[in-house]
Order: sequence, then C-alpha cells, then structure tokens
Amino acid sequence: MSDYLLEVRNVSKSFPGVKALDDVSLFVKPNEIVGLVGENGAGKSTLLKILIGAYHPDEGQVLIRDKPVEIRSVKEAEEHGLAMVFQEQSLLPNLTVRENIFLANEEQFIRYGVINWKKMDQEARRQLAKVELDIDPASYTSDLTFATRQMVELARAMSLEDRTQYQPIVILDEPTTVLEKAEKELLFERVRALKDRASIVFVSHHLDEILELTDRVYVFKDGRKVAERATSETNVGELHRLMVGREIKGEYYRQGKQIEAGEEIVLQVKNLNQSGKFKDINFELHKGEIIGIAGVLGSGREEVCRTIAGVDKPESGTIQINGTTLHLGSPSAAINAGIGYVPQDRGGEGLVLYLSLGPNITLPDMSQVMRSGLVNLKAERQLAERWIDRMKIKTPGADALCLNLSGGNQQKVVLSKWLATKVKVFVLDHPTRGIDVGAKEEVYELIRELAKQGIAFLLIADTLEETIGLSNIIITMKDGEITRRMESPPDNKPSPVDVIEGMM
Amino acid sequence: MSVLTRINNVRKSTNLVDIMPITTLIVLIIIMSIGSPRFLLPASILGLLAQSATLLVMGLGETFVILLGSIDLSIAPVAAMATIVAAMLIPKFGYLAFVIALLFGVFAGWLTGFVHTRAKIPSFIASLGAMGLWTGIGFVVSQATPITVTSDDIFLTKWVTGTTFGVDNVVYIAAVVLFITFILEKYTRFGRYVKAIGAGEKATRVSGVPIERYKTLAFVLCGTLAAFTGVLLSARMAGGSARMADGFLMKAIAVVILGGTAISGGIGGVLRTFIGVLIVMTLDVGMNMIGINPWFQQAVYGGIIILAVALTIDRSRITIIK
Repeated sequence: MSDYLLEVRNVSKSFPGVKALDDVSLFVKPNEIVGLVGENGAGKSTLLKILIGAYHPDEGQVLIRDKPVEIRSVKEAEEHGLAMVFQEQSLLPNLTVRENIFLANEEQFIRYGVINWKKMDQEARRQLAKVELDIDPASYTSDLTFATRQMVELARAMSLEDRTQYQPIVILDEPTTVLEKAEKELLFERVRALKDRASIVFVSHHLDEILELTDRVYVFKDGRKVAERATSETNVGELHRLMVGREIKGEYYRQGKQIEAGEEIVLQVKNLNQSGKFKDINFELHKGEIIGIAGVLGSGREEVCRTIAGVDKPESGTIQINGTTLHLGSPSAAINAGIGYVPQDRGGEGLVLYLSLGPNITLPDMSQVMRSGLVNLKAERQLAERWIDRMKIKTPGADALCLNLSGGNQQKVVLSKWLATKVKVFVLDHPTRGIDVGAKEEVYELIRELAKQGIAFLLIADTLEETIGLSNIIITMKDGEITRRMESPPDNKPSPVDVIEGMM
Repeated sequence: MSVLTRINNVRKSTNLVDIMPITTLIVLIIIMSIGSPRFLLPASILGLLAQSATLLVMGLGETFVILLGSIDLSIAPVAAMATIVAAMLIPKFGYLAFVIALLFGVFAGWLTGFVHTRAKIPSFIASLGAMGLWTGIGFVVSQATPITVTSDDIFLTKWVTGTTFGVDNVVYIAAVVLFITFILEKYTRFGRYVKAIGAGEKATRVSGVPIERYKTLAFVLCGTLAAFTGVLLSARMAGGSARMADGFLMKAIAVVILGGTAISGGIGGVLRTFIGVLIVMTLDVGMNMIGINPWFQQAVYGGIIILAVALTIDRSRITIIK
C-alpha cells in the first residue's frame, strides 16, 4: 500500500494534430494540497478532463487508493471520491442550494417515492457547515453571489465524504479567476481548513496563489510534466521559468521582422461602452501595426474584440475604419469595411466544420465565385486550391470537411477566408490556441508578413509572452477599462512583470 | 452493448447517410419487380411519377427548411388552404386564382419564418401554431365543405391534368420544380447560406451572412411550394377542401429524411428528397399490393421516420437531444 490517494501513471492523450498530454505521471497524498501550473495548452485541462471522465486516456493509468480505475463520467468519478469545482460553475441556477448539493443523489431522502425536504435541509446545512457557509438551503442558487456559489460547489464536493466513506479528492479549476481579493482570501482559508479531511488539487496560473496555498506543485508545459517541487523550496521566478520553459529566443516571435507602424490610422475606436463589459475604450491602430491587449478573464478584452468585429453591439461609441464610421453590431458591415475576425471558438464561430474548405473560404464574400448570378463551383474549387497552396494547408483535398483537419490547419483556413476578403484589419482572438508549436510559428511568420503588407492587427494572444513578443503596442485592460499603453519595440520589449501590473 | 452504441457502430462502419437511401430504393425496386413483373414497365413508372409529383413538390420545399436544421409543420394546412383559395377564386379570376393561391403560400411561409426568426420562437412551435391557424381558417373559409370546380371552368385545370407526348403534365411540372430547386440549392447564395446555417450557424453569422433573412427566405420557399402542391391538388381533384392535404405532412417529412437529409441540418439536398419520394411511392405501391390498410400506412411512415433518423443522425454533433 503506497500512501497515495490519487496516482496518475504515464498518461498520454492526443487530439488531431496535437499531443495534449505526453507521458504524464503525478500523485496526490492524503491531506495534501497539490498545485498544477502551466500556460494555456500545457495540458492541465486535458488531465482534469481525464480525471472526471470526460476524456479517456490513450495510454497510461489512473489509480485511486492504489486501484486502477476507469472513469467514464462525473458520477463515476464521484463514486471514487473525486469531485471537481469547475471554473465555469456547474450549479443549476433554477434549483435551490439543497437540490444542487444532492443532485443525482437524492435516494437517501426518498421515502415511498417522495423527497423528505426537512431531512435534506438538515443534511445540506451539515455540508454547508463544512465550508462555514450559513445560508438557507432552500434559497435559489441564482440569487447567490458568484463567490457564495463557489462555496456551495465546494460543499457539494465535500458531501462525497459521507456518500463514499472515502477522503474526498477535490479539484479546484482556476477558482480565483473572477473573485475579489477578500473573497479569494476567504476561499483559501476554507480550503486550508478542509485539508484535515480532504486532498485538494489546485489549478491556477497565478503563481503567487500556488505558492500561498499548496504543499507541492507540478509544472506542465506543452503536454508534459516538466517539474515537481515542494512549494517551500521554490519561488515565482523558478516556476515561471519552468512554465514558459524555453529560453525566450530572440526570434521565436519573429521580432526581427517587426516593422515600424505606418502613419495612417486604419482603425480608430472612440469612447466605446458596454455596461458590465467595458467602458470608455479609446485607441487607434495604424497601418501594419500590431496591438496586443493583455488582461485576465473578465477584463473585457474579448468583448472589445467581438464588438469591433460586429458580433456584439455596444451601447455607445464609434469605430472608424480609414476615417469612415462603421455601422456597429453587424458582422457584414465590419467585413465590408475590411475587418477580419479570427474568433477564439474556432470550431463554432471560426469555421463551419461540416462544410469543405472552399465554401468556408468564400462564405464572407461569395462574389469572388459568383458568375452571372450563380455560384461557379469550379472557380470555388480553384480558389480553395490556391489557398491550400499559399497557406500550406495540410488536407486530404479541397473537398475534405474542415472537421477532419488539425487545429493548426483549421486556423489556416480561417485566416485564408479573411485574407480572401482583402482584409485591412485583423482581429485575432487567441489565434494560436490549441495548435502545436510548429503551427504556431507559421502563424507568427504569417502575421509578420501580413503586417509588412500593411494589414493592422488587434491581438489577444494565448500567453503573455506571445503578447509581448508579437506586439508593437501593448494595451492592458482591467475590469473593462484600459489601464496602460506601452510601446513594445523589438529591441526593448517590456517585461512580463510590467504588463502584469497593468492587468492586476 | 447498448442499442445506441450498436446503431452508432453501424453508422460509422460506412457512410450510411450517403449510400443508404439509394440502396434502399434499389432493394425495394428489386423486391417489387420480383413481386410484380409489371412494376418496371414504363407505363407503371410514369404512373408512379405522376402520383408522386405533389408529394415531391412539397418535400422539395421542406428540404430547405430541414437543411436549416428547422422544421415546418404547417405545410399540409397551407396546401389545403391553397386548394380552397384556388377553387373559390377560379370562377372569378380564372388562371389568376392559381397565382393568388401561390401568393398565399408566399405569405404563409413568410409569416412562419418571421415569427420564428424575429420573435425568436423555435420553428417547431412557430409552424405548429401556423398549422393550427391555417387548419382553422381553412375550415371556416370553406365552411367545412368541399368546393368543386364546375364543368364550365374545368378547362382551367388542363395544364395540370392533361398529357403531353403521352406523359402527364404534372410529371413535367414536378421535374421543372426539381430542376429549379436543385439550381437554388447548389448554385445560389441562398442554397449555400442555408446549408452553412444548418451546419454552423454561429460561424455563418460571424462571416457576415444575414441569418434571419435567409432563414425567412427558406420558409417562404417552403410555404410557396406547399401552396403549389395545393394548386396541383386542386387542379387534379377539380376542387378544394380543408382536408385535401391530410396525411401530407408525415409523408413530406418522411421523403426528406428517407432521402438522407439530416434532421440536424446542413447535410442533404433536393436530389436526396427525390430519392426519398421514389422510396415512399414504391413503399406505397408495395403496401397496397400486400394489402396493408391505407389508414395504417401513416403508422408505417411514422415508424420509418424514426428508424431513418436513428440510423442517420450524427450523435457526435448533438450531445443533448431535446
């Protein structure tokens, strides 16, 4: 009998074009708080999804209390004593707190097919007391604050200890992203208090939080576990270096090809407002310039990008392209003005996965292949083949559904479809998310080349390093407002710390 | 192994959606021609095609709505209303009555599309409401009594009921509608956008396609072709009645689905619906031959729709089925 509660042995998982997890091993001991850190795409989420049964590993094993287990659903994970508090909360807002805590586990309260609410109330109070939460179990979840709901989730996870008679393993996935400082402190206090009766896996990319809360920490990078440290023997600097991993080579982001922005203002954003999302956004983007927006989740940077792309409509403000005012809230107006939008949700908003390459490329502007009022399928096919050639898209053929391409190649199709519209401004929302390193470098190369041709970019990068490496100008956003604007010339890039200051 | 996994395995092993309709048709035709050697005679085939013309026209319209991933349940009452409009107006307006009946279909389709897209009501509910609306209005307007085209006016129906080169005119008419809808589907923006919306509405919207407009247009086309079906029926039956298109809804959806157009949208097309019509007509003949009660045939089509969807639906695209 080892003294591990949870053990992951040599687990690998691949998706088309990406090895998401590569031979990863780790363990969690009883009454231990273990941290997982890594950049986006490092493999943390994939590992968590394997633990709660959403994915099945290609290779390797998961052991719980020394027994190999096959977890196929959240329910099975819970039967093994493993529960997750999700980043996007999973409580059902239209149900009460008690119903949420015991959702799918109501048997214990049922007599003759009817639920004994009084008993469920009592039991719910007992679970809530574990996280020192004193609320009415009959209150509706939708009436609670985000932080309180998170506590309810934690209580729900802790209810496993009664149901399974095991010490629970509770996974907290980025729990602090939208919490205020005081709420964060409270969460940490409760988590520490739970350590006596549970093991905690804490996932975050805030290194200071990891250092504050955990006993041990694993560092992930590009699908591999690159380091394991006792928290007391490491520091922010070391973790960061391990996480980013690569010596930031001067040329990874093709900084040598970064050009001076032109004089001409291509995109001008004035006093853009959307209550609850962003406020008083002002900036201008010049010809050939790359502006990177840095900010945490909830900073409003995604919403600003969606507004410029015409997908969302702001309450007030103006956007001008080459001096002409844009009709807001209309993707087609944005496209006609020369804006191309590469959305974060590539499979949902970027591409119609169940169409082949040609129809995807011509979708924003079909006039390229219209001949006397009808679609010329041959011309469309030739157009697709030209883009396959030019962008080096790896595909079984022009007729293949985009569904069957790897992430990197799908992204090239998205870029192609906008380039085919004679785009002047590219709005890129996480353009390198979920694509492998080689494909990332191709995207960087392409961005530089297009900037040289005069296309301007508004960029939300996948990582801070990417933001700094690619941008001419970095704008930081916090709580919907622009906090800083800093130059980022190739020979004098700001340090991550400078940028983070504007984000926090 | 659960039924579901088994069905999914069958699905994956071949591209069933692509080959099943035509295979089914061929198998049915072989069985039929063994059972009745006269089945494959040109005269029988042309007879079959003439009989299936109305169903084809209606199914072609419904195809576009199903390609969107939506559904229009109001097509049978819209067709019935069109028979009433045509039959009532023929004495006064002559040929123009048919045009007015078609315009009614344009309006009915637009109304369903408008309610669906602008009021953001699921097409299932919007068209269910429209089904009730037109059924009710149809009975009131016709006073629940069949209206007949008098012998003075019967010549006005000859363009449908007559024959040219020995073939029923209605066969040519259906062929023209098939040709036009094929062009619409494959060679126009409308057809492309309808498929794109069905396959990925969000990405289509981000690409600047005015989703609501094209969805409404698909409903307009569907309503128009439903009314055209009514026009053909009124001419063939020399009259109009609120019950004239009874049973058409189930069959029109069956021909689209059996042809292999995915109920989830994006995949399929009018040629598949043509195959679907041939399957249904062959089945009709077959069921009559072995003496299945005509009233029970509805039940058979109900079962067939479910079976066809079970075999062809792509469950990896739909995680929650509502």
